[in-house]
Amino acid sequence: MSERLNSYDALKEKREALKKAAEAQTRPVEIRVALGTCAIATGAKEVFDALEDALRANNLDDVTLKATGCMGYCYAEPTVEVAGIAAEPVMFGHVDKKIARDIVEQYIMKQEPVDARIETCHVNA
Amino acid sequence: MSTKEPVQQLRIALRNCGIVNPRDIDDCIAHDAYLALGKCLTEMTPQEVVQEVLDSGLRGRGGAGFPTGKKWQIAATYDADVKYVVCNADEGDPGAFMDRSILEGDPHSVLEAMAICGYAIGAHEGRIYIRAEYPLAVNRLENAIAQATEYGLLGKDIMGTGFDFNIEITLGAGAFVCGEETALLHSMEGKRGEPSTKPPYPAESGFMGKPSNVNNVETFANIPTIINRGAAWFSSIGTEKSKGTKVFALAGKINNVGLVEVPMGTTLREIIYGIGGGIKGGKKFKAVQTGGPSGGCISEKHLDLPIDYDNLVSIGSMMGSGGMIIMDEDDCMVSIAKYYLKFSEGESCGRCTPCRIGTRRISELLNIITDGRGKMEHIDELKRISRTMQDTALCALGQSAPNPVLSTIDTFWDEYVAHVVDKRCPTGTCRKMTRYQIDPARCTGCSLCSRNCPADAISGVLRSPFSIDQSKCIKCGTCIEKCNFGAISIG
Repeated sequence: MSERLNSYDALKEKREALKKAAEAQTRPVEIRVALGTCAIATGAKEVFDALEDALRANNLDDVTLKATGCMGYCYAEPTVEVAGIAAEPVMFGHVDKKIARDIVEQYIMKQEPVDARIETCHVNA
Repeated sequence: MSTKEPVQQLRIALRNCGIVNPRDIDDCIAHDAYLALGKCLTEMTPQEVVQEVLDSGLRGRGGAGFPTGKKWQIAATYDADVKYVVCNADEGDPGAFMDRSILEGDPHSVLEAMAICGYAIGAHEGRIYIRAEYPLAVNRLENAIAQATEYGLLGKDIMGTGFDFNIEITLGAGAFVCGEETALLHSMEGKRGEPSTKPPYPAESGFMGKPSNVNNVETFANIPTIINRGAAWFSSIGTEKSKGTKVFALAGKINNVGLVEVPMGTTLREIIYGIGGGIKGGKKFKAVQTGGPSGGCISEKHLDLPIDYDNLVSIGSMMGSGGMIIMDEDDCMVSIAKYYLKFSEGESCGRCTPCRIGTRRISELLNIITDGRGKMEHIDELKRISRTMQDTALCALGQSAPNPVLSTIDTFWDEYVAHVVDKRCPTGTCRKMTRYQIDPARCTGCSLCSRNCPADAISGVLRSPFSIDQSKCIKCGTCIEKCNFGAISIG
């Protein structure tokens, strides 16, 4: 990262390029792990590491693993959201190392359900 | 009870939280970060930006609900060599974590909004006052500032437009009163965190005596979306006088503890039973506390009231920053009031007498009542001191500190009467007045309670009624939980 965005158009072009790059991925699957203070306190860092290990072990280097902020579902932390498999992103709650592996090996690789799914109730405006 | 349709959260301030990687500016740009800033700098005049925020109807999300556009408009009128945009991230209400989540999850939205504000009011300097207890938020902010500066989205000559805006972070030391804007500004200057009288307002003389505009984190987080989608869109959400959405931190005796964002005008019932999943353990709802130590307790009769700034004030509470603590049938409302007053007593900066002495006296009176030594005159005295504080305290902390007392007296009068007249705490919370009793008619003499009592306070002969030695009883409640015959009660 060294370029300067020297105009509003440069920012807009950058945004378009980033969006296109995301869409062009062969497998546009994204795993989001909530890693705010509260999530880390419930063990989300271990979950993140377990997901990373499982992706590496199965050679899934085309799946994006992302550390995000709070998803708002504190009661079910650690929470992990997977986008790109079903039509809408799916959220998993009370995730531990084993469930993290299951998310990769069952849900992402075989599209089989994982028991830890929680209901979400938010939409972006 | 269930609501007709599943209640949906609508996210504006939290739009990118949980979706973007806050450490990666590219990911944030792909999700529209700095687009609104670019639009303001290239397509809008500062006056047009102020007008857009005015037209949106956005009001301050930190508590009092002052119209944000109005604040910007006033700040824009003052001329000075240096002006400041200040972000109040001194989140201190017990049970509130909205601002921390926004700063940890989407720091760029706040930085972008501060730069937009700077452009609108003619300021080139920004300061974020954030509590030192939020190290991760501070770290992500610092990282975000560095990345944005490298991209030329902050700092000198932003996006080649000639506009400069620089942001620095100041750490607060964890004093509740520093969330009050004048105290916050004094603390930033290195002085004691004490409020001062207004006027002059910060817009005229704020940080270092220069015109300053202070807004809360969540207020800022709404700005980029307002610019991108327009004031008309934003003001189509919410109620007549409260536009947009509000983030609430649900805590206490509720199944789905969490952070929720709902349109203004959503009812408490929809939030608690719809999104929140109802009360823990199927217990009965008693009250919800909004507005932290400055707010009040709302009872069941107001569950269907649409939540907005004005409705909450009309029932003796306030929006506050968005902490929402749910209480069930086991919570003693006099003890709740005592907890909040103890908090305010500890956080009173001591500058003005009504707050320093008033919070102390109210705490003492509430202690007398929960110890079982209360008289009706004490309740009158509570009301009298509370009104004096409301009228005479220097800042909002002192003026609003009695709210938890007044609202519980108003809404849960029968509980005060039970404590004072009957010398009884209906929930068994106030241990100095509770007596655990065994009903001889129901006791089968099974000895289960006696075997489980950690204080060896229960004795008796098998198959005849047992009894509790009050001098040994520590009022832990184990016997009530263990008894299979409902023979033990709190008297």
